[in-house]
Amino acid sequence: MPQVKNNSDSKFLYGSLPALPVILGGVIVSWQDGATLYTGLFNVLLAFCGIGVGLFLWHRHANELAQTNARWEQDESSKIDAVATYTAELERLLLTISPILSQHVMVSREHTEQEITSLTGRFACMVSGLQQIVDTTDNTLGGQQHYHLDSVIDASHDLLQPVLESLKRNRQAENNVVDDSTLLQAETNINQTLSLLSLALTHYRSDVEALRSNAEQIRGEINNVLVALQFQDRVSQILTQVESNLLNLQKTIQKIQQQGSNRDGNMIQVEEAVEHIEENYKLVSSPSNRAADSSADLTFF
Amino acid sequence: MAKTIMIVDDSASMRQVVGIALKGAGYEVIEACDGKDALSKMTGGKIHLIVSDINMPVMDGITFVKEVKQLDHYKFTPIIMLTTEMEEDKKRAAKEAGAKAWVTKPFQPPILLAAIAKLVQP
Repeated sequence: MPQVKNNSDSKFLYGSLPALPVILGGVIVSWQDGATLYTGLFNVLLAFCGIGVGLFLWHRHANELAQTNARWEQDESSKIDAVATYTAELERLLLTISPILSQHVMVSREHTEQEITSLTGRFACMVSGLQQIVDTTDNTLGGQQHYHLDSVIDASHDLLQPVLESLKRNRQAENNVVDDSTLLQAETNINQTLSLLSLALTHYRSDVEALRSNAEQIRGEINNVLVALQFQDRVSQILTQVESNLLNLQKTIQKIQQQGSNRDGNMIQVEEAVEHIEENYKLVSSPSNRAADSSADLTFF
Repeated sequence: MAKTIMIVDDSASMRQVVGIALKGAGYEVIEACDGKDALSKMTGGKIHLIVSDINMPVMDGITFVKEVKQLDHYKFTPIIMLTTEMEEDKKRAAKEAGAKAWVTKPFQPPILLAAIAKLVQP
């Protein structure tokens, strides 16, 4: 049986000889496929290695970034703490300063108000004083006129008296001839009176011119003072506004301090505050500029 | 007979300044500190012209002008707005309310007096 088996084995062996090239071919192909497979596997392994290295590098970079971020956060946090401390200091300072400042502004405003009241009062006194001076000047002029008129009247009296006496004498003597000396005296008196009248008119004319010129100057000064008073009034109003704003600032700071952590929601809106200030603080640059542009000051509808 | 002019302004100093300018020109002056106060003083007496500020407490100038135009006795009284405001919108509002002229503060007294002389009825 074993021989048979050997026979059958050799038969099989010999029978299979023609298949050897096929088998070898298959082996070669398999080997080639295997090489390809190994190459593929190697490539896959290389790829995995690459990915691994990449992941490792990325991980290391991420760690570095995280560490940098942590350091930055720490720095920023310490800066924020410093700023917060500084802000708290500022707030304390403002709270200390605000009442003092407010008091100063109030005092300043009161002082300005007093100045304005005093100035207005003094100005009213000045106007009445000027009025009195003008009246006095008028009276003086009137007095001079009276003086000159009295002279005229006296002269006329001097003139008329001799004429009347002469006429009386003539009537008594029933003679129509007028005394020559009386006529001469009357003529002299008339001439004197006319020259006095002329002198009075010259004085009066020059006084009127001087008075008119003075009145113009006084009127100009009065207008300047009235404009200056308006500017002072505006300054007073602005000081009132500043005082009110300071009180508001004080209240806002106190509110922020009370609310503590919720600071951001209660921070002062700088832009809004600036807009508010722009709206409320309207100042005219200078009186002279305003005076130059007086045409824009009046509009008729 | 002297003409009567009403000055409406919340600033006492400004009323005094306008008063000096007007009295110096021979006008009689009535003072009021806001629109409401002015209306309470308009009790039938002759007022030839009103000089009013715009920004005032209690009742502002534009509302005051509108209220005056509702009063039979004073609806034809000319009103001059005397204000620091320069915005065209406010000027338009004053004109629509019935104001006759607009003078900007700080004013030169001759300008205000010229405007008054032009508007006051002879």
